Order: sequence, then C-alpha cells, then structure tokens
Amino acid sequence: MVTLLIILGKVLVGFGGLLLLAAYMTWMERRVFALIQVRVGPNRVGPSGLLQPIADGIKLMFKETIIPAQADKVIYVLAPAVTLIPALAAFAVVPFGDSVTVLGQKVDLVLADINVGILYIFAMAGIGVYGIVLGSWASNSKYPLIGGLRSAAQLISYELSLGMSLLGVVMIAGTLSLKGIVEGQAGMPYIVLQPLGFLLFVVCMLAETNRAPFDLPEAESELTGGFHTEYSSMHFAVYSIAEYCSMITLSAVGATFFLGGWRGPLLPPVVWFLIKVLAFMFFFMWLRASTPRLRYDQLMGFGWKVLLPLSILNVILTAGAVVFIG
Amino acid sequence: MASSLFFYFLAVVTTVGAIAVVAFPSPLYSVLALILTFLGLAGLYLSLHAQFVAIVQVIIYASAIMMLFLFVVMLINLGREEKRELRLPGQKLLGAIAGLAVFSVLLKIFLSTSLMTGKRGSFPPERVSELGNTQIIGNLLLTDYVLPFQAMGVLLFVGIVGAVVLARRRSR
Repeated sequence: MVTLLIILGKVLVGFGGLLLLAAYMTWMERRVFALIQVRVGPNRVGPSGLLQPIADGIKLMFKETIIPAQADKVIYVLAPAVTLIPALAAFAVVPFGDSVTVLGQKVDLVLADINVGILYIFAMAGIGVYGIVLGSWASNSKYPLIGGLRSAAQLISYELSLGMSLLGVVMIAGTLSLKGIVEGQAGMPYIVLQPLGFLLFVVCMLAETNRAPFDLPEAESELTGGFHTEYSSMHFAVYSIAEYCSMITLSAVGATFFLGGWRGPLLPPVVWFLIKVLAFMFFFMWLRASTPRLRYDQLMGFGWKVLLPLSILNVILTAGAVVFIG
Repeated sequence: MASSLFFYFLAVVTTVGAIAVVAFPSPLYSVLALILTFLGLAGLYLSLHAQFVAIVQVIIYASAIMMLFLFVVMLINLGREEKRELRLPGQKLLGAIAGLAVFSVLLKIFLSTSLMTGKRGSFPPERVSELGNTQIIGNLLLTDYVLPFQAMGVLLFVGIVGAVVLARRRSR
C-alpha cells in the first residue's frame, strides 16, 4: 500500500513538475528574449508576469477548435496527443535527485530505472516524430506538409549523431541506465572526459528539438507555422507543450550524461538538477535570440557530412581509450 | 494474474492491428495499424523480460522502418484502394498453401518450446537479470554468433551501396 502511494506520488511529482516547468518555459523564453532585445516582456499578469502561462493556458482552452474541411479528422485530432505522450513518457527514466527516505522507505527519485534507459528515450523520441508527420499530413494543406517532411527528415538524420555522441559516455560508464551513469560521475563529470561528445550532443540537441539555428520546420518566413499551421486552440497548445517537454527532457539527458546529473556541493540534489536543466534551457533561448537560420541543404549536409563522421570518430577514440587506458 | 491480463491485452492489440493492416482500404491507415502491431510485439517482448529486444523493436521497426513506409505513402498520395480483380490466376489457392506452410513451421517451433516440453533454455529470466540484458546479447553476438553477425553487416553494407548507386545524380 505504502509502495503504491509512493509510486503514485512520484508519478504526480515527476510528470506534474515536468508539465509545470514546460508551461513556465514559455514565460522564461519571453522574458529572456525581452532581456536580450532590451524590452520588458510580459509583466502585467501577476508579479513579473509570473501568472502569464496560466492566463495563456486558460485563453487557449476557450478558443474555438477549427478543423479544416479537407482534413482527415481522426488523425488530425489524434496527432498532437501522439507527440505529447512520448514526450512525457521519455522523462520517466531521468533521475532528478538522489534517493530520499519517505515513510520509512528508501525512494529513488527516478520514475523508472530500467536497464536500457537511454535507448528507451530514443524509442520515445522516434515515436514522437509520428505526431508531427501525421499532423502535417492530416491538415491536407501545403505549408504543413512541407514543414512536416522537413522536420521528419531532420529528426531522423540528427537522431543518429545524437545517439552516437552519447555512446562515448555509455562506453565509459559501462551501463545504459541513467542512474548508473550518474553514479559513475562521483569523481568528475563526463564532460571532462568527453568534450567532443558534449559539443556534438549540444548541436544535435538543438536540431532534434527544432530550435534555432535549426528551426527550419517552422521557418515562419517561408512556411508560416510549419507542421502546426492549421492547428488552433488546445491542439496547438498540446503541440507546443510537447515541444517544451522534449526540450526539457533532452536538457535533463545532457545534464545527466555530461554534467553529473543531480550531483553538486552544498545545495540539495533536486536543486542542482534544476539549475543544470535551466542552464541548458537558457542556452536554447539565448541561441534563438542571437543566431540566424541555416538553409535546408546546409542543415542536412552538416548533419550527414560533419556531425556523423565526427561522432563516429569520437566513438572510436573513446573505445580505444577505454581498452588501452581503462 | 496481472501479467496474463497484460499478455491478453497485448495479444488482442497485436492481432487486431495485423488484421487491420490488410483490412483498411486506405494505405495510410494500414501503415498506422502496422505500427500498432509492432508496438504490441514490443510489449510482448517486454513481458518476456527481453527489454533490449523490445526497445530495439520500437526504435528500428516501429519508428525507423515504418517512418519510411509513411513517407512513401504520404508522398505518392495513394488514394483508397479499389475493389479489384485478383492479379494471379489461382491466387487464393496459392495464398492458402503459403499460409499453411508458415503455420506448420510455427506449430513445429511451438511444440518444441519449453511450454510443451518443460525443458528450459540456457538463459532463463533470473540469469538474464543477473548478467544484464544488453550485455548477454552483446557477448553472444561477438562470440557464438559472430559469423551471422558479420554476414548481416555485409548485407546491410551492400544495401547502402545499392541505395547510393540508385540515388546518384547522373551528370554528364
């Protein structure tokens, strides 16, 4: 009974926290943008505009849902959920704190520590692409279709390098479980041993979450909104929550693989974890405010001809180092 | 109890998905049903304690390969399939024979499983969870099954070369 309660509590705290954080990322993004562009940003709703995401949520909920007449209605309605569910589920294997004692039981602060953790995240990311592709196809309109094709091609190409960039850490740690990888960084974070891997990861992470300078799928100057052009109301909101959730999950993966996860001096582990994730998120926003967009052929060429060979090189070098130095 | 409920649920998902692949008139819905079948299969692997196989099933079949199917279906914009005449003479009879052949192979395999003979394999769940799922597969692939593994590698490589040759721009 106690175990069941603890599991329920973990699920509520984990997913509730993730959704709340995703909502507040919209606020943070607008404030950071305003800061960089020397504006004020949203500051009317609540202190420093802190209630803005909630106001936005209520507004979106009351908007009319518009479904295009030519759309495939079943798929059109289902597609946003197909993106959101894997984006949420992927977070389940990320450890967000050390184990704590609740009601006399030792509780690991991770929703599910499975022994193929990182592969599970990739599986979920792979399923999430369907939401984008199906949504763009079901809208039955030109811009979404082109945006959807672009994002699917981009996600598939960069997923390879993303996986390869993490392989070095997996080889050093000797485990695929994210909890085991955090345990392996008791001495020093893996960013020291894997500087190239970290760089590759950050670039692939930007492309994988469709963020600037790789945000071609939603290049508003040429494609209006990209795959979600036809979406409105809550369906649109679900897409954007899913996007922020996968950004947070990938930030958390980066923090776990390279920056030592929840480890850190003085402050409690959960706080350290949040600081590292927010640092990644700030980096996302900073880049979006300061970089222009790539051209599409440059993007694909860069992924296949630069990133992939570099990440394979990183894997070979790491394998050699693990075998000969240990 | 819970695990057998899980099994029945997945079995229904997998079989209904597989039937739907054939039954749907629209090719896009067939692709989606096939994805559902693959996800159901992944769930079945998971209930057999084969986490690695389950996850790889999702990554490779349910996402990578089916994404290609989806691309093709979306881009060439197939309409709904018309009711049409059978293409080969005696197609139904040939189909029945092929189905029967596959069924007899599966039956033979089923009769030799531990469920029927009571004999256990060399990697029961306890041993797998002790040694680690991924580690066992990695070790076996590079020791006992290294030749088939390398042959697969060559096959895939040939496939890649073939794709490059077909897609190459023919400039004069």
